[in-house]
Amino acid sequence: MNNVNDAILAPTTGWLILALFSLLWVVLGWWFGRRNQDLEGYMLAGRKVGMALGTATAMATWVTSNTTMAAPQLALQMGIWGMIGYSLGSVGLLLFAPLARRIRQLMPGGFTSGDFIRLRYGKTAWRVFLGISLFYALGWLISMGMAGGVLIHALTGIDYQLGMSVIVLICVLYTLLGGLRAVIGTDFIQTLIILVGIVVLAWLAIDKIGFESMHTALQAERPELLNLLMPAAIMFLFNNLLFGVGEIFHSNVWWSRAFAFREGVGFKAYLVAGLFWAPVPIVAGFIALSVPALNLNIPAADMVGPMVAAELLGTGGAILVFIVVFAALASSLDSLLAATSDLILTDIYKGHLKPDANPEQLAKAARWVIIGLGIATWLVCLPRLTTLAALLHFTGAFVASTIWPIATGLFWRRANAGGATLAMLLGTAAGLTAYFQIGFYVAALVSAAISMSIVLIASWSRPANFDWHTLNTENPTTHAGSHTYD
Amino acid sequence: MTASVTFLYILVGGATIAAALIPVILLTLWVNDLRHGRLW
Repeated sequence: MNNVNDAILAPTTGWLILALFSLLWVVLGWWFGRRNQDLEGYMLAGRKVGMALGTATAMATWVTSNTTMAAPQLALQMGIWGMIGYSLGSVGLLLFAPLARRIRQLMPGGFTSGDFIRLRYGKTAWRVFLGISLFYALGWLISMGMAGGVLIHALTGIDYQLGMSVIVLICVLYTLLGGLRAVIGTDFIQTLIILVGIVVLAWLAIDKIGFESMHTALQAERPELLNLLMPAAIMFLFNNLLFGVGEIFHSNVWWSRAFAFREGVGFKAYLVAGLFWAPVPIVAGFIALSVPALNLNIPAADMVGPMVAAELLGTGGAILVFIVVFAALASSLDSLLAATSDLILTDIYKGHLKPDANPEQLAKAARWVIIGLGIATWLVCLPRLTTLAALLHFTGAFVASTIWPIATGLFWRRANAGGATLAMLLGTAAGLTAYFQIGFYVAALVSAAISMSIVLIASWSRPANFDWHTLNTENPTTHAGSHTYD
Repeated sequence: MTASVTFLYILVGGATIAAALIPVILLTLWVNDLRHGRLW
């Protein structure tokens, strides 16, 4: 085994990079957010985000630390199909493009994905959806926080709890200061950093090892990784595709952007972001295929990315991976904090706890919700519970059940409330059963299949005749008490 | 060079070149939005 300890950064270097980038994100967050004049500006960036920032934010948010850390892990476990399967996560962004246009048309004053479910399917479906959506959001936040702690510990030796605390704190701070404008503005810069970083790493891996020797070592030591007929990997490929679609279709992270983008931008921005995202997991994941050629001993699967980079490029590689994953982490964590706090504020606080809250109270509550969410994430992340990929895929059973209720709800008048509610409940139950009985790679697949069957049968046997105008309501955060939730 | 190596070459090489071009396209879009007052 080669010794990678020499390449791992000194804690002082780690703290220095952490301090520099933390300062950069906080100052930029404040600077971008200084234009916010009201709650709509704070939460939806004034609904006028253009093509460049729109494309970059959709892309950066979908490039998570899981993309940069779990993609190499999956490449090591599932080989070429692991990389391609992860890359198919881009289908979610591509398919959301027409939905983003439809959402903007039907709900020009809309605020959250919860708004849509409530107005389209009623209170029961809304509450089931909120349960799924909040569970997923917390799961994603936890996986981001954990990834941050793991990375900092792997590269610098800084204690896991300390590193994780710093990353969560910084993201909470700049999201708090600048709202969605801070999130979208920093996403643009983070996208550029991530792309330049992974391209440099991949290029150097190709240059230093080469495809021929990488292939020879793989064939000798891990031939299954080159097998294009690896059954579990093929199942993973389809499962990951549906998981990605479920994540994007239901999550307020993507809906809030559909509301925030300038008219006419949503469709193009999501389409281009999907195309741009597709090569990222391949470029980030492929360095794991060099493990046999480098004769590396990987102690934990989710450490493969940083370890290969450090082995290949020494201190420079470790610094580069550190910066890339910090950017990937921040670009997703901030988006998730902002969008989930919107959901909690609009659908839980305003929708359930304080229906008569005025805009001032809501603006104050919005900030407290971000702080509360940050603290909750930090508390759950303190013990390192499971591997990143396992946590990520556990939520697949939940989110895949929402694909059909949302897609049909946006385009079919006949989709009905009972079918949507049952589809989410039974789809999730079936997906979870598949997760525990078969494996993580089928959870989303089974969940989406059951959910689809229920929605189709319900729409066919008891068609609704939904009036689309019902969705075009006033903004609930600026007109206190003007809404009933029945 | 076997077909398997060629496949790896095309897949990873193509993805790397594509990823390298994206920052250039994004910056071009940014300049375009800025010039037309459509950034935010």
